[in-house]
Amino acid sequence: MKQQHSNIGRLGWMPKTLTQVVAVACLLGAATPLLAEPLAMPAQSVLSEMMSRQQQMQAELNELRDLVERQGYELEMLKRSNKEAYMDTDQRIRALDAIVRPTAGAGSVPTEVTPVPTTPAVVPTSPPPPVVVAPPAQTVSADDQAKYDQGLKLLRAGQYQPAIKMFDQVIKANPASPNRPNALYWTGEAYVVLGDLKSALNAFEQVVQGSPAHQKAADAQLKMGYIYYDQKNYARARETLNKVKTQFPGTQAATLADQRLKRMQSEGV
Amino acid sequence: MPRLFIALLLIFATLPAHAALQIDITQGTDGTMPIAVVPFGGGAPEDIAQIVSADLARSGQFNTLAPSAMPEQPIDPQQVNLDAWRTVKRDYLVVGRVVRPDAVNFALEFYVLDVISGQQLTAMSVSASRADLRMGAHRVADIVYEAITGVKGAFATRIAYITETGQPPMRRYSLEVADSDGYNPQSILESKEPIMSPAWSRDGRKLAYVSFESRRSSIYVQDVYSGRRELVASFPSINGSPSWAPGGNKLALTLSKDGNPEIYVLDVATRQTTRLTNSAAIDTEASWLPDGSGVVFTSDRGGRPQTYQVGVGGGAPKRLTFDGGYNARPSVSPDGQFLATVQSCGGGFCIAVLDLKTGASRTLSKGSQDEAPSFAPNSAMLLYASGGGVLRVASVLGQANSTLSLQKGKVRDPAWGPFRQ
Repeated sequence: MKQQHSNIGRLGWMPKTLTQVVAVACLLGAATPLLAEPLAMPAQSVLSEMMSRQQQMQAELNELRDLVERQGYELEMLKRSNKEAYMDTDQRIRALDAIVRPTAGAGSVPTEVTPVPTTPAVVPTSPPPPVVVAPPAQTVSADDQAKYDQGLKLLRAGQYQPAIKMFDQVIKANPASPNRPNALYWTGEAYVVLGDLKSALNAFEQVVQGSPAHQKAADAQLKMGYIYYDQKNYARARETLNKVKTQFPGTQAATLADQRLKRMQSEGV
Repeated sequence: MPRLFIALLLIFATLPAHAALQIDITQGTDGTMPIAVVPFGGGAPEDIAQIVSADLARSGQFNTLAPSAMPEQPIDPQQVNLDAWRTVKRDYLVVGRVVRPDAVNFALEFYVLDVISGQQLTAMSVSASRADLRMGAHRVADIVYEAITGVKGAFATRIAYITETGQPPMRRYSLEVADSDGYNPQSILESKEPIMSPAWSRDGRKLAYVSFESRRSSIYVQDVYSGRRELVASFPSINGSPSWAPGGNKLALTLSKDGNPEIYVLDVATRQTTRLTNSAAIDTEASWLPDGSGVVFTSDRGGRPQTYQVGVGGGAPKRLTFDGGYNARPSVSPDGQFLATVQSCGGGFCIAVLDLKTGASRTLSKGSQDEAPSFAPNSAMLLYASGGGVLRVASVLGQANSTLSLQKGKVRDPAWGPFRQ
């Protein structure tokens, strides 16, 4: 048997397909009188069994491929519809908020629904968008609002520089604009994504200093804490995060600040 | 064949005797732009306005007006009474005339007017010889179409298809080239053996096709104008489904020279082949992506034929179709937005179009034996072969569906040529 195999090997002709294997088997069966048992018959039945098994496996493989492809596709569709549902809900909340807010008193700010980003490293494509704040005493000009909305749209589309420019127009146009703190806040977020932490700090600082009572002030302060942490300026980070806790107790920003302080403690910084 | 004549009935009553085709337009006119193409003044051997009008109607984006329903028939913008056209609810108006600068040539002078604003959208003159007169009229239609929709018109283009006539042993196959409306058909190859899958080169000069003239499949490339032809692929076993690459002298095709039908790219100049797919299943019917980055093709690797996409560098194919248990003969629109396939529907096959951006899918035909969808170069219309072997044109954006019905034989495998250069 060994002899036969090495001979075939030397001939440089190795069986490649099943048909060739059958051919080799027949050849072996016919040309090897030395073999104690006839090889051809059992080998052939084994081979035909193998072939039908192989065909079966191929069919099953095809079915499984179909299933995997379909599931991948369904997953993708699900992701998409999920995102759409989110955007839809988001728009409804904004619309509702715009109705609720003008009737609310100035003192009610802390009880408002405040969209605080839930993850530390916020990418502005996914966080809830800012609520358009329209205190009763001030009105938003149509142009102002359009620019602010445009800025948000650009931000969502990942066009950070153009978004910053658009927000800048809102900021510069009217220092009393109710959109100003929001525009500044999102400018800060955009700079974080762009990696310009200095400009981000500057923008957040303006929110905290310029509108300390604004709902965005807590978030801005929190983000400043995060930036200091990223810059390994742990002392300032601790100080800033503690301010969030004491100045805005009960807010989500305060909870997040507390979490980060605990993490810093566990990291020993 | 059931026919639903609309306003075109009158027009076709006056068809010239040499016309080989009839055109029926079925289905709705919702969302279409109302236009009137007034019969051209001056006189010509072809009814220019009728050709323009039929082109616009076939796009599915316009509804046209029969001359008998027109309040007036001006040939100059100064003669137009806009109020009269507003009364018959027309948004756009085309007026013009045929002038003879010399004994040989014709000049088609025309104006496109916006009836609502009263503005003139365009004023042009298209010149054509007697033999070119119909093509000249199609050019007018292209300009009108573009002036109103902002999208380049694709009427002054040509189509190729295969006809089959007679019964064995007298059966004959013919590769024909005609205008986009089916007129002026010319046979460029005749054979007793089947001819299949014509494919236009991007410059519109050459057709690649499969011929069984040597009793087995081979792929030829033929110059449409000179008739000169060249055998480019005759590998053992299958040689099928050629498709020209957008850039360069390359064909994607199906070969089974290595055992199993797979997609290859053939460099026509060097005759070198590169294999793109590798699967135990049947991979066939490759069609290039418009940017040349890869091909879409049919494969039954998932058990049933579906459309996949693979890059020119090979790699793992990506499945594109999930609607319906069968999606074969894929074709991507030149703008890259749509994928047309032959889809199983209601026990038969119809043409389906998938919007690759939104994932939305719709069927453009009712079936039941539709095949071989081919996009117009402006992506707005789709040509396909229908059940009884007739050619049909469907609007990708609108609802219209027209028949280009030849009077003889069965028509198969249509291919819409590129914009004329």
